[in-house]
This record gives sequence, C-alpha cells and structure tokens, in this order.
Amino acid sequence: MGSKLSELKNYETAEIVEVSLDSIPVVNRLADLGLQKGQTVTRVPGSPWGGVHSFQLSNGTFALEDWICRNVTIKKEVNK
Amino acid sequence: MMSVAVVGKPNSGKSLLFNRLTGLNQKVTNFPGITVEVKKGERNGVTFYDFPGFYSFSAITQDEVISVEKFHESLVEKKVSVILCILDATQLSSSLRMGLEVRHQAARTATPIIFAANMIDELENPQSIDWSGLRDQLGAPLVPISAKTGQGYNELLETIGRPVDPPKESPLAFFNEATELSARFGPKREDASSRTSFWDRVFLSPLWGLVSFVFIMTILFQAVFTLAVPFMDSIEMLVSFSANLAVSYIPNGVFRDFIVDAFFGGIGAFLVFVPQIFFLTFIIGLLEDSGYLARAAILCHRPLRFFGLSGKSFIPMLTGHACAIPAVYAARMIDSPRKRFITLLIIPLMGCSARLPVYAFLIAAIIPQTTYFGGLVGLQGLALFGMYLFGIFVALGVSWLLSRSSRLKVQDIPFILEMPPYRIPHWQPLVVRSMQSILQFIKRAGGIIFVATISIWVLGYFPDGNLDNSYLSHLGHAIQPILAPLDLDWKYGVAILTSFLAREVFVGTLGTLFEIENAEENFSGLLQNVQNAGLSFASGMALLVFYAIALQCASTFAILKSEMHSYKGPTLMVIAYGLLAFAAAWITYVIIAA
Repeated sequence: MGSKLSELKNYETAEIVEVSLDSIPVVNRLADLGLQKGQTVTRVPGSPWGGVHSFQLSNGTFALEDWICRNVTIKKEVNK
Repeated sequence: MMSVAVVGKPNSGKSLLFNRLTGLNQKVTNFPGITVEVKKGERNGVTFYDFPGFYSFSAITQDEVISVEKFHESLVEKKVSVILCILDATQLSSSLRMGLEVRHQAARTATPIIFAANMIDELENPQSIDWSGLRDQLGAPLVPISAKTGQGYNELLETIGRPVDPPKESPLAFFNEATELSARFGPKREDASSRTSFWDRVFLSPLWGLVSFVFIMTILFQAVFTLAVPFMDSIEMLVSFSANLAVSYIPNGVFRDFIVDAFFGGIGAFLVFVPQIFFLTFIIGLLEDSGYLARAAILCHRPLRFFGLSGKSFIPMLTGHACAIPAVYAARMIDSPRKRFITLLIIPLMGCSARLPVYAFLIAAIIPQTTYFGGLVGLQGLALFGMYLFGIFVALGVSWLLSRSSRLKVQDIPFILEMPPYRIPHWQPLVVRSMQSILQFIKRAGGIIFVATISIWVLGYFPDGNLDNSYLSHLGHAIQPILAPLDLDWKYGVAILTSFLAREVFVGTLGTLFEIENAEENFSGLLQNVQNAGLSFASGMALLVFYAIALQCASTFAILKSEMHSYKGPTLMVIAYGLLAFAAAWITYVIIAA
C-alpha cells in the first residue's frame, strides 16, 4: 500500500499511483490539472495553517483541499 | 458578418487580448437566467464573444458549466464562424489539454479554429518552443503573441481576417496528446518560475504570510473606505447642486419637495456607492491579476471552512465592512454555490459604514467618555470595536448553523485552486472591469433603490407634509407596542422604520423628531435631547444590538435580489434578520435591566 498525497512534505516529489474519489467531475478536474496516474507531483508551500495543500504538477501549481489529498495514492521519491 | 468566439483557460490572458481586440467598444451579454457574463465587442465589422474561462468541457463549477454549454450551443447553432483559442505559452501542456478539446469540438461542428499562444513575453526564450512543428501537429493556425506588449498582435489580426479551414477530427486522448506535444515542441522546463517560488515562500510562510496578509487587507479596506470618500462627496455635492438648480425654477409646494427629497434623494442614494464599487473592483482585480488573491484564499480556507465558508469568502466579508453592495459583487469569485450562498447571507451582518453613524450616536448617548492608559484607550472606542466584533461573531454563528442545515448539505465543489504565477497586472482590463461593475450596479440596483426612496418619502410626507402627522408616523405609533418591551417610544419606532431604507437615516430621523436640525452634524444637541428624554442604558444597548443584526438597506436588498434572481431570498433575509435582531435586542435589554 502506497503513501497518500497528504503525507508528502514540502519539495518532496512523488508519482501518482491512484486517484480514488467517487465524484467523477472532481476526478476529471484533477485530470485537467494533470493530477492523474503516472504523473509526477511536487509538494510546495501551501497554507501554513493546513486544510489546503499545494502541489506543482507538470506545468502549474495547484492548491487542493486536504481530503482530496487523502484519497490520492502516491509512490514517493521519484525524479527527486 | 464574421463572429469570433474567444475561449481559453482562466488566467490565460484572454481578457487582456479581448480588450486589445475590441477596445472599450464592448458590453456584457447576459444569457437568460444566469450570472455568467459573455462579453461582446466589435472591431472592423468582426464581432468577438469573450466566454468566461474554463479548464475543460468536464466543467464542475456553475459558471464553467454554463460557459461550456453556451459555447457549445453557439458552435452547434453556427452563431460563431471562427474560434480563437488562447493558450498560455508559459503553461503549455495544460493549455493544450483544453485547446485540444476545443479543437475536437471545432472539428465536430466544422468550425475553423485559430490558436493564439499568449504571454510569450514571460518566456525566458520564446524560440525554445517549436512553433512550426506545433502548428503542423495542431492542424490549425497558431500565432505566438503577447496581449500585454502587442507582440504578434498584427499577425493574429491578419490570421483572423484570412479564410481558415475547419480542423480534422482528432483522437480523444487529450491529456496524453497535450503532454506529448508539449514535450516534443514546448520549452524543456515549464515549472513555476523562481520569482513565484520566492514570493510563495513569503506570502505562505507562517509569520510573513500572516503579516503580509493583514497588511494587504488593511490597504484594501482603507483604499475602499478612504480613496472613495472624496468621489462620494463630489457625487453628493453634484446631486445637491443639481437639486438646488432644478428647484430654483420650481415654486414651493409638494412638487418641489418631491424633486429635492425624493427624486434627487433617490438618485443620490445609489450613485453615492459608485466610487466604492469602482475602487473595490479595481483593487480586487489588481490582487487577482497579480496572483495574490489565490494565495489569500488558501490562507483563509481552513479557519473559514469550520464555519461552512470558503477561503474565498474572506474578501466579501472584509469588503462588507465598507459596504455590502461591493461585497455582494465580490462574492462572485466563490466557486462553490453553497459557500457563495452562505457568504451572501452573512454579508449584511458585517459592520458596514452606514452603521457607523448609528453606533457612534448610540454609544455616545449611553456610554461615558471614560479613558484609560492616559487617554490612549477610551471606553466608547472599545464599545465601537466591540460592535464590529459582535457583527462578525453573529455572522460566523449564522454561517456555522446554515452550513449544518440539511437543506444546504448538497453535493459541493471541493477547494481546487490554480495558483497562477505572480504577474504585474495591466491597467486596461482592470479599468474596463471596474467600469462594467458600475454600469451593472446602476442597471440592476439603481431602479429599485430609486423606487424605495420615493416610497418612503411619500409615506413620510403625506397627508400634510408634516412628518409628525405622516403615514410613517402613524406606522411608528402602530408598532410602538412592539417596542414597549425594549422601553422605546414611538419616535424610535419611526426612526427604525425609516432606516429600513438605509440605516444612516436613523440619526437624521431622530433629529427631525427631537427637533434638531442637521442632526448628523449636530450630534451634541441631539444627544442632549435624547438623554433628557430618558434613553436608558439597557434600551440603548438593545438598539445597538438591533442595528448590528437587522438588514436595513434598500441597496443591499436590491443587489441581493439581483444576485439571487428572486425577491424571496432577500425578503426572507429581511424578515429573519429582523426577528433575530429583535430577539437579541430583547434578550440584551432583559439581561441589562435585570
């Protein structure tokens, strides 16, 4: 079982293994942003008070609510 | 006549290009029953439609869904002859992802498409992109441009003027194709610039993030509150001058009173908000286009989420302390319909500038001028600060309760936010956007405010031109038994009734009833009369609490009606906040009197 996206620390990089969300529109939107299986993601500074995590994907930076991150499985330390 | 649909991702510089294409010759085209605005502009016989940005055809926010639907409809019904798809050259693969979907729709509807790769001025080396190879693969014209500097703009105009064939059908693997195209033809490195990373370390750090947030929001609040004041004063002077000029030709009588108090009063009642709306829209646009607003929303999200709000709710809440009208407009930036709805409901609880004269008068009437720490801290100042805090406290309580209501527990949109790179905003789209906000406000809210002002004037004037004997006065006497539990007489009843149009009328009405001229300026005379008449501390506190909660503003009512598309919502709000205000005032009175 892999780690979750929410566990990624600042400037750590990981590969997305699975996005397990029930809402198809949300999954589609995440895919629009590049957050889908096989893509590489790097955690960047987000809210200092939590609740929202920020990530750099292939060519943009996005903030995601923490519960979304808890439903994304990752494989840590690729292309670091 | 040729018509061009301008589409692109949010933050792709689409609006700036649209402004360059159409100049100021543009207007908002409202599609029936929706708040989404498709802008329309013309240039040399070509009509351009600027559709709100969307990430893909799998839209999730209400605005996106409607934008996509209307765009699709315009293709199917052949309302547009060419699509101009804006790509962000600094974020090529995600732009291409959306661009390929648009190309697919263009192929299905046999509509020619032109791609414009915008923001090439922000690329370290624009030649690092193989424009020719990318153009061949897209099977459509591709023009690298900078809407900001004008680079490539003439070539784009020439391309729009030339006949273009519709693209051929393409595979549906948009993401993979976009990634592949970007890798083959795009720059080698497309990550966030070092400038963005640096500023994020500042704006999102636990200490400096908070400090800069408080600093920027203070500037915003002060600017809306203070920069607008000279312009508001000028409008009041202009309206007053026009009224005086008009009445110099009219003999004394009902018609003259109507022209001065009702007609010009009605015009002034909504025109006076115009400068605040302009400055607020301009400054929020400045923050948005610079990339900071996305960071501010991230900072605020967690604390506000507990109360059922979004991080994006902060701006309307803050703005509401100046005026609810621009705050209601600011709430449009909230994607989640549920959180936007709750935000709209609590905006009237923020301590707007119209409450200030009421608070200042009542506090001066019931709280002694005691000072502490050598005069640095005054009891009256603390009471005023307490009233603002009370408004926020009630607002958060209301939103917390509403967010737990089963009727509002619908499928909601999670917080997903693109963090655009930091950029220096261009002034032109900011000015255009601010001017459009003003025009919308005058069009949507002006009429209802005008009619409401005239109605109150009629009730306060007839039957004999004496307020003491007017229908409004009779109403005041009629509701006096309701105010009896708060130990308030009929004069306060009339003041409360008139201030349902605008809170600040409270002091002026009391001035008339206590026979003090220019009560807004002559506080001390009115205070003495009110104190001599025996306004108790408990009754004064009850009034303060009532005014902190009650929704008494015709302008806010009108703008809420416009945003909610019905009278039902704002009417229920007036009733609910009225009842809550009275209950809270009564509890306050009982506790203090006991």
